[in-house]
Amino acid sequence: MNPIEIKKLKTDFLIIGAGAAGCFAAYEAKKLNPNMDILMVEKAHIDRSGCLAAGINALNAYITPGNTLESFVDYIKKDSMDLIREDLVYTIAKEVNKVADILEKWGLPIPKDENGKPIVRGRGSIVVQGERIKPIIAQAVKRELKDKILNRVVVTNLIVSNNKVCGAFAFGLRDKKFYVLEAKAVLVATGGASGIYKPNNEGQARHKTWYSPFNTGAGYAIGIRAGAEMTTFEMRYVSMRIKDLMAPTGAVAQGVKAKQVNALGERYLEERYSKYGGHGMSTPMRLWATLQENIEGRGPCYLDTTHLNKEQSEKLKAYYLHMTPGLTLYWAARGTTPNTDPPEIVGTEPFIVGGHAQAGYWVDINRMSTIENLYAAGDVAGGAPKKYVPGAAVEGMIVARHVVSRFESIDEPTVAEKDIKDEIQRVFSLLDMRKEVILPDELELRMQKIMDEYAGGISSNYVLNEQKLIKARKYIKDLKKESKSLFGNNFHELMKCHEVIDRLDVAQVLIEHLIYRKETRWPVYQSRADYPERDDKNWLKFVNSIYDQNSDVIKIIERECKPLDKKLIEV
Amino acid sequence: MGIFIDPNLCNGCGFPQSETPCNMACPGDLIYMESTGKAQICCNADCWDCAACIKICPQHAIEINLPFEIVGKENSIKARAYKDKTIWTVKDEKGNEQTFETTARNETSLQSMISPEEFTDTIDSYKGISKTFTDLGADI
Repeated sequence: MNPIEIKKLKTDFLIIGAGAAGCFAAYEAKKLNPNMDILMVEKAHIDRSGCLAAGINALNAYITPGNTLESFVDYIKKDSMDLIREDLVYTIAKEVNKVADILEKWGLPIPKDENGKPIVRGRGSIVVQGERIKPIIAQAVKRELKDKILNRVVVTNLIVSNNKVCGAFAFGLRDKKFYVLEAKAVLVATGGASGIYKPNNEGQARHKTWYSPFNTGAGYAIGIRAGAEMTTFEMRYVSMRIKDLMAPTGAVAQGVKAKQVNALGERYLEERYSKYGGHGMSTPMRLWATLQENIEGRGPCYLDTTHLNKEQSEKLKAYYLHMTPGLTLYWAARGTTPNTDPPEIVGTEPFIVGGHAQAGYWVDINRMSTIENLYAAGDVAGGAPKKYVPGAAVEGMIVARHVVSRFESIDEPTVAEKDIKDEIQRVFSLLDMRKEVILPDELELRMQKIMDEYAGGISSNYVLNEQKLIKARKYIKDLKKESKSLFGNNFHELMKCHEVIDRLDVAQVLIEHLIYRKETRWPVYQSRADYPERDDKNWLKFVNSIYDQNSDVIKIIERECKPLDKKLIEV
Repeated sequence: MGIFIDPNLCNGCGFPQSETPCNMACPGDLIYMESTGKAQICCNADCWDCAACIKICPQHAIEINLPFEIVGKENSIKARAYKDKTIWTVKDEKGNEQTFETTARNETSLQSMISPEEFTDTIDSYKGISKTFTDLGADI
């Protein structure tokens, strides 16, 4: 290993991840206290990083006319089978519309109806023309932070001393330096985790995934390794998506009111599953019904767009350019349009993502984790499903307010020289050529195969049982040992090595959560064949965990599910 | 397939004096510069089809091709980003082209935009390519 140059930087507030949550945290903090020093680190480049790289065509958390803060919370609670952190969801609800206003001011086009109101796409969702949402957000933040954004810098671990966070370690993809980032407060605002399970497509198409394949669970992994308490990893997110390109369905289902039909042309939700609520049933149940149709021989299922006229079809194609341009190309390449070629719908591989389901850090109302001065927002913050982009942004702002109010009273961070040395060894030793090496792609394939077959992936219809999960536990543990042999030929490959290591840590925690919850709470997301019923008497509670890196043991903690106490929030 | 960068059109955007727009835009860190001064993708199987690179390329040198296992042979999508809109060209197997225009930014917000010259950051500077951006009227 060549000597690595160490770069030490000190800041008041370190933000890991320049997505919606991180950017809104930076913006709010600078607005409240322009003198507080902020440093932002981003694995890619702030202009086009993460989930929003391709854009979005709707804001999916919004209090639409006729809805209230309470109805927003109630809807998410019902859709999540009654187990959510109502305090967190309520505080998100209070500000989602404000986020839309800010985005519009920054330049995001939000089309209006004849009364000058945003166009409602569905319950809690408005239409935006968001192909450029990421550069628009980035521009506003760059104006505030100027040179305090480190692009292409990959965070590898948090620095924690006596259960207080002191900063983070990272390495630069371009400058090849090792970064010691000392901070009084740290916000983890990375994306969730994709690529843990075998994806829908293979080979050259393996990254035609719905969720960004570059969100590889680093935010979770650094918290897990630091001993932060995590919640509800067992609520995986399996999404109903348009086959092949895995494009989101909201634009079709809500946007042009396409109904789900099976191969017989039946509107199966209403015709076959009315006792579960028909078209109005929860998100996981609509997917469950679709899988049932396939199992019982009535597949494939579609979103019926055959009612569209030619002009509407063209508009729908253009609408997808704001989010999944590949789908527009897909229709062109097949020589079809939506009205002649309705999109086929399937389930994705399971993702771990707190912005849609609720896996993440266990946080208080200020989004502080169980480690002092360590915060989480967006996809990595637990307990608040369906927060989407607006909710992630709100969480970022909530964190910023808390940090601004107290950073002056936080002691100066300290970092032990030995920790720096150890981390350099852990991070960069994978660049050394050794006799027996494993490439990151090889290890990834093996991990995805194990998770697919033993921990409820696509090939097992997402179904879980204890015996298989115990095998998954063993195989993932074995694979973690083998990860010591990972080899990166250059810094891009080195990043890929650490992305697999991070996902193995996430997978290990996920498996323990899946084993522990002995009921079926969220069909498809968490379907236990050995405990097929929902059991509110014993399981209407949170399953949390803390990992001890030294003993490699995961301790499970149960937490109460509490009703909303508005008095606590208003204070 | 993910993307194809046409080596005849790619002019390297001033590399190595500045980081190139495509290299900078890629959320997966997949684009690198060859010793010939041309941009190249390191692993097409890792591409997400997000189109960030094709919109930003001042040379219009990049297109997305869908993988054979999904949809067959020849197809492509190109795009160019202007200040307030993006223009897309979609081509099918038979070479038929279709053009789309999408709104990308509020006109009212354009006045408050940072000028392209200020469009820099410390780690990877845009300097050296910013003029190209102004000339072409292309936005991020």
